[in-house]
Amino acid sequence: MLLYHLRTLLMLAVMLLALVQYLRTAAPRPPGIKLLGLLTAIALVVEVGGYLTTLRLWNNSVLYNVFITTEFCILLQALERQLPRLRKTFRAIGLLGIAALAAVLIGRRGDLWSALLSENIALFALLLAVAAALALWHVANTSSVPVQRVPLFWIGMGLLLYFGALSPVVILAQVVRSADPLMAAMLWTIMPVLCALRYLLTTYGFHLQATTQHPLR
Amino acid sequence: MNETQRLVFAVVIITLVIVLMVLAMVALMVVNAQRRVRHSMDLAEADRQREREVMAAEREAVQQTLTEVGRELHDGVGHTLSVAQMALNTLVQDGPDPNLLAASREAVDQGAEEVRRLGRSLNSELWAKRSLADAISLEADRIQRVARVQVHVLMEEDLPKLPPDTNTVLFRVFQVILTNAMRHSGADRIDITIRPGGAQDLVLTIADNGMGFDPETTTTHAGLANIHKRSALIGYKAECITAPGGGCTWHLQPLAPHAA
Repeated sequence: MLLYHLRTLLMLAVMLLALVQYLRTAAPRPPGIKLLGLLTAIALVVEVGGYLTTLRLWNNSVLYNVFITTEFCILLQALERQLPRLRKTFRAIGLLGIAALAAVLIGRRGDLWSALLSENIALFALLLAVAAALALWHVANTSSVPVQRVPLFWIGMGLLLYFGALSPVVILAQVVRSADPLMAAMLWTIMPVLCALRYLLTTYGFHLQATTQHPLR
Repeated sequence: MNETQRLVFAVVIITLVIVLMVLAMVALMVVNAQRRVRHSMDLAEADRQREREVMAAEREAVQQTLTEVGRELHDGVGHTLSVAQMALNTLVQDGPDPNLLAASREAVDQGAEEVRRLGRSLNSELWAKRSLADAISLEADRIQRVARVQVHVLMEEDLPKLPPDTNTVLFRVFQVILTNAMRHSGADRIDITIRPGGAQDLVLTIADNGMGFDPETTTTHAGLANIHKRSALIGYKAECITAPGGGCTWHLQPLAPHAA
């Protein structure tokens, strides 16, 4: 239990750091940065809510079901605004995600909100990992400055790290849940660590944005 | 699996994810570095190509000027001096005649003035120092003098000074447009307008009242292609508005004006 608190508090601290770093970037901020800042704030509120509800043993599935959908939409929108040349690709990914969500909701029987929509989380994570990989590949192939000086590179690496791992972890946790519920629970505890790493990379991206004040890419 | 094994499993997964991430990061950095090397090589090649084109434009401009000056020497000065020579021969044969003497002196003066003017147009120092507006005015004067074409130049005051390369290429493009108008259009009037197009740029318009042409059927013409290519090389856009029987108007303007 102590490890759980430590992991969660570490994640919240890093998210708070990312938010502070975002606020250090001077206005007018690029549209993509604004959305990423907004997402960081929402994520912080959601994770604090998730932490408190878990402590009280309340079911917080609905919170995460709504959040992953919101995160999916905001992230695709942020990437689209920063990389307009990939607009069609990001929109196609978005439509695919929404169609999959609709299919999951229609296919489910019983109470839709009491359980975590893990298939949906896995699919959204996979699609976001693909979107992040495409964005990174585009930046690497078009940036005239070294990519390590481009904020979007670090933010994209964070997204790829987190969502790239989220999908297999969720699927694996689902597979082993009936045979070994403790193993499934252990797999879920990996995510706060990866989330902290994601927001650490995002913090560095915001830091680059604040110090150089060039467009996101 | 006991608790320790589960913990080890989780740590292995995290480590694996991080290692994969670092590998992806390094791969992207390598791709980006290669891309930047290719980009700088492309830029260097574009610079070399630009230099070659500027030199070619300069050479062609000088060559055309030499040809025109040679023609003027033959047709203008040669003719004037022949008149003076004939008058002097008559004076030698028939004895002094104040009118003939004055006429021959006038012809010699006129010839000397022509030679001085042509000498100025061949002076390479003046050639290098003159502005595009001056060069265009001189060219317009010359065309008006030697061809049966009225050339009107309208230029605004305080025109910006162009970089030497832009000057050279724009002048050569102007020469080609003017030559085309005189050779192929049958125009008897050409209007040239020069106005500022930003802090370091000009907008040049050359309009003739000739027969025009169908731009759809003449897109592959080498001369026209060269006008577009050279203009693009110095960051200018060459636009031709024409139709059969409707004259031809060329607009040369910067693609993106330089900042002040």
